Amino acid sequence: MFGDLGQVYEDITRMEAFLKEMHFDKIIVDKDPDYGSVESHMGEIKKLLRANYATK
Amino acid sequence: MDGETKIVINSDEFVERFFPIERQLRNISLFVKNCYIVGLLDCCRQQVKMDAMRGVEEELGEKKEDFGVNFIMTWGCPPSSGVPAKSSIVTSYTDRIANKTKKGVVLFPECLIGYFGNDGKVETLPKCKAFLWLDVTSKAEAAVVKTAPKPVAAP
Repeated sequence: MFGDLGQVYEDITRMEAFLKEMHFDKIIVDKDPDYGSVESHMGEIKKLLRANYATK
Repeated sequence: MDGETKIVINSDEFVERFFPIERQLRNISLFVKNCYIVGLLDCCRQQVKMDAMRGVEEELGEKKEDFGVNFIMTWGCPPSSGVPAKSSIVTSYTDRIANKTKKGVVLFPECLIGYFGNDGKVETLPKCKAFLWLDVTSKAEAAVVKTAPKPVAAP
């Protein structure tokens, strides 16, 4: 991890609050990522997109 | 490096040290129909030297597969540069979108055109076959608007 971790967490929290304000249905936040968790989030996103939008 | 941004992960396993986030997002925009990718990467970037490549040269950031996709990516700095530890891109990015939201709707990629961040280093690559009108009103607000009585014309 590079940079100021406190600043990174602050930015993540700020972005999360902003996305909530914009009323997104699904927001995934990972403040302690490893390769497996990031891969799993991407898989979840793809599954959600395919299920909800791919056929419309 | 292949010129695409990766997440650096603290791992003992070499293959698990770099997650190809940009490639994954490009793939989603390419293979999942009707989706619109808007990404923000607050990161440092390394530029690929063109003389290290063989065959047909592609302009950096311009890939043949980008045609017919809806993909907008914003980076905190130009290639071969870095972002400050006290980066302000999240604040300026969210402020920009909030300021560009009119009547509960924000238009992509128009809202990011001319956006360079507080330090003037931010870069955005819009590859869009369509505009995105993003309605940011809540379902409750939308329901109120929908059920509101229609104005009566003056006699």
